Amino acid sequence: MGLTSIAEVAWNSLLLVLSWPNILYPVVGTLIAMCVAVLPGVSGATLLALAIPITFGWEPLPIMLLFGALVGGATYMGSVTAILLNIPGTAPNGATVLDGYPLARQGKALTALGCSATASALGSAVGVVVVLLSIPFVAQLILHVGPPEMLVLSIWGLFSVATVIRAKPLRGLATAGLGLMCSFVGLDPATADARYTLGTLYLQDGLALIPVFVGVFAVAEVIDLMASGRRSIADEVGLGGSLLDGARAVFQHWGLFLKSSTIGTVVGLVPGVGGTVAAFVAYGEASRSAGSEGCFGQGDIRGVLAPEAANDAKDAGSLLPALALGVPASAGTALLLAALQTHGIRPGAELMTDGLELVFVLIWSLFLSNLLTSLLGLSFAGPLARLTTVPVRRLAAPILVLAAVGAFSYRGRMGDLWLAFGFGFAGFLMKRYGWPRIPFIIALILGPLFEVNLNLSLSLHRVGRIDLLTHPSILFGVVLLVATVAFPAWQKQRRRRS
Amino acid sequence: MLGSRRNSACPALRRQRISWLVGWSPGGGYDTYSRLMEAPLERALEAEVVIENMPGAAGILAARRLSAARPDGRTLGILNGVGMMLAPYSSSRFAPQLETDFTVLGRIVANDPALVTGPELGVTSFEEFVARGRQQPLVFGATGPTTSNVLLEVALARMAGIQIELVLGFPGSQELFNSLLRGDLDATVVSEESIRTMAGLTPLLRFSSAHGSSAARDEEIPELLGEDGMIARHPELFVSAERAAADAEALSSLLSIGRLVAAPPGLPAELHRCLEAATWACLRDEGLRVSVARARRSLDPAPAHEVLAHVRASRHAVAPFADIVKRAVERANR
Amino acid sequence: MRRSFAVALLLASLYFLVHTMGLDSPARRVPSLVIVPLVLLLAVEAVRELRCKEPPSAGARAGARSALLWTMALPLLISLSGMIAGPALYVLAYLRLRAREQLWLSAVVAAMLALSLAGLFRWVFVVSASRGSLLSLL
Repeated sequence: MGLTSIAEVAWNSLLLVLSWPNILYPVVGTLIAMCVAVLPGVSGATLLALAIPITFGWEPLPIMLLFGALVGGATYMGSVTAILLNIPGTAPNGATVLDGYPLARQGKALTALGCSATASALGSAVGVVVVLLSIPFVAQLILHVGPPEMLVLSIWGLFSVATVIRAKPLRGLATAGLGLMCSFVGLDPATADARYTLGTLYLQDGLALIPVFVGVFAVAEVIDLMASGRRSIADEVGLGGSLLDGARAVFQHWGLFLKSSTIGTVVGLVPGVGGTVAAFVAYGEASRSAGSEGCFGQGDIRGVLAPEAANDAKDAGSLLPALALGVPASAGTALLLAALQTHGIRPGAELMTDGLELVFVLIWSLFLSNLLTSLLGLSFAGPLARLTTVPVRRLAAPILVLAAVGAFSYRGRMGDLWLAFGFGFAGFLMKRYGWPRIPFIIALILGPLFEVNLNLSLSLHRVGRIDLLTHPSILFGVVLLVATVAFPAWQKQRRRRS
Repeated sequence: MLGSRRNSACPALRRQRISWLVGWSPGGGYDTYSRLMEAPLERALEAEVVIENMPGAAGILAARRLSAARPDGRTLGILNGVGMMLAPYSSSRFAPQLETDFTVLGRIVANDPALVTGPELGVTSFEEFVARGRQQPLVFGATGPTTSNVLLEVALARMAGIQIELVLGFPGSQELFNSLLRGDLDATVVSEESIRTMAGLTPLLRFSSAHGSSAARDEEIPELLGEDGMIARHPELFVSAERAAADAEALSSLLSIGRLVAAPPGLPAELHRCLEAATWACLRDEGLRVSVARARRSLDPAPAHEVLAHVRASRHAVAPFADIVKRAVERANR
Repeated sequence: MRRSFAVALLLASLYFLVHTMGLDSPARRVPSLVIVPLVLLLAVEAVRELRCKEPPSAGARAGARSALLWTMALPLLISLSGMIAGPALYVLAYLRLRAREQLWLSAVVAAMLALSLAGLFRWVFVVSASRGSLLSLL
């Protein structure tokens, strides 16, 4: 299908989405998603699971409209908690924490929120454009992403995240390693042998991501707030900055914005890995290109701009592997596929050609949802930013309760609650003694992908289908890895000398 | 009236929350059937059904959880019947027995698997496939060691005298298809309905004669058994046509067990009776039939006693296959 | 405490290492690739920490201890009183005793929280609220 035809289908789909009463679905879906996404542990994936049985008798068009909004609507709230409370709403928001929270501590929460909302909305637009241009060849491209490629990308993703915290790359690698080991807890996927389960039935299910995530970030942050003796998050600094400064920063650094959005979309195309690490890759690239001029990790506005642009840009891209090849990029897209399957909408060539209009309806609905959440987010940014001046003694208990509810409501098991608080204790100690938590969580997410693809790659090597020693992806991966690890070290050496 | 809107089949479960365990990720066949059954089952039980995906170890993780759950009717699940028959012979330390570790409530659909190859192998018929397999080892892919696709691949290799290498651990049938298209694999066995819309793949052989309300069963794919089946028409393709026919019958019986609705063992008699009735009502629900057809899937319900008869009849058939499967899996995992 | 934490992480990795060696071959293949470099990395970091002088921080330790006790009180209360009463009681105790808010305000906030949670578990969440071991006895 040529670009002109694709553009025509895209345009017609946009008009369809904006028409009455179709426009109601993304608007209502977004509002529902935003309200519910405040609760930790209730994500876009949960909303889709709830929506599937409700939409059984619906036609494909409203289904796509609603689902696009539910997937897109939850993203922004994760950035808000990342900036204001140092609690990323989802793993990809972990990159926003690195500079967003320091900005809030400096009393510039409004600036960070303004930058986040603007970068998100515009990044989403760039994502749609890049996706539009990639559709003619994306299916073929993704088809070439097999087990060796996924292995390389998951290792690269782990290293990128582990070394993005420049001050302590070795510790980042160590906590990433611990995260990987924790991801192996449970039953071995190939043989069903129990691993590291301490003989308990609970651990045979593995370490559930959401309770661990809630614990390592939310619970740990509350303990830290209570222990720190600070009066409030912004402490004596008070509330400063402005939404306009934040929004303006996106245009001032328009080159970085475009680069980050493109990185987000392209990396987001990679099944499984991309959605998780896109924001970190963008952050790492922004930090690298700023060099000695930047103060990344200490409240550099570019450290909010880059991951936020990438995070929303990736949403559109991460739909394509799911729709083109049935390979989901995340829990959310897996449920999207499940929903589509129950309605007889099968991913693959048929959907990407005859059903392209539906694909674009989904993408436009997602984009609209991102736009709406950013606009609404800007409207509420003022009151939200004041959270940073609320006394800690009033803030701590509600956040802790929200965390407990989030951890428990995932599966209704008390074990998850204790898991969350256990990891909360560990997360607090990690924060206090300088062991990065983000690589731990990213490794926990990427661990199963890493293991499955390593096993598959070794098996394919054993049967002679690939040669791991000379496979182009492996060689490219080694080069990429060396560049990811060695380049920052070389830059650091150069700075020291000069 | 059982399963009607007015009377719940199980008064004890009315307005309760029931967990429905699925041992595979969202989007696959087991998950799709579960979501299609959610609404009719809620109608039949007047309860709330909540689907919980627990992928891992080809469904064994969820099967373990289901088997260990309290027998109070609040935990149900969907099982891979063939996988449960094979599990006791696997190296897994948890070896569920279908008859004793679960309460079977009914069958949703019998397995209807087909052998499929990719474009890189360059064969267009089963005859060419066998000829190729006798010249060089063919690489087959499967999801887990206790799945029907491993069993069928290994059994077919023995019947036709072809050499195979197994690659295990693919997360799902979509990843298997993509590997076929890339040329990483030569062939695989998946459910026939899964391959209907996957362009570029060539179905070569169907293993069972399962029917049921199938949306669009491809009648052009040759079958293994029957008067017009591959064994009858081309006995030269098999090491021993007689033995191949016996094996194929045994496999067909095994495949009839299909995808099952199950509960933990030890249900009180009344609860057992009413859950069976509710499951049967759900599987015969007209709304389910329509939505299954819309999802381009098949429905071939059978009541619990019929399923258990197949299980008992197939019990003796599993052991000889289990041995060759175990050896093939050990070789794959070395 | 800093040094103890580094050593604790090393010990955790050693547990993983020992258990990995006891697994059957396919199950230990990938973990063994990860655990060996991990143990080395953590050993290097632990040695580094042990060599550093740990700054005295008695005040910080007291603050952390109190924060930890208050934090762990929440899951304990939930285990005993359930997912609705537990958080409400916790918030009441926290606001009154630690935040030194007025009793009536603490009680109102706790009551509102209990109602909100009841609503959430009834209409939004797909899981049932735990009743807690004390309430289950009744």
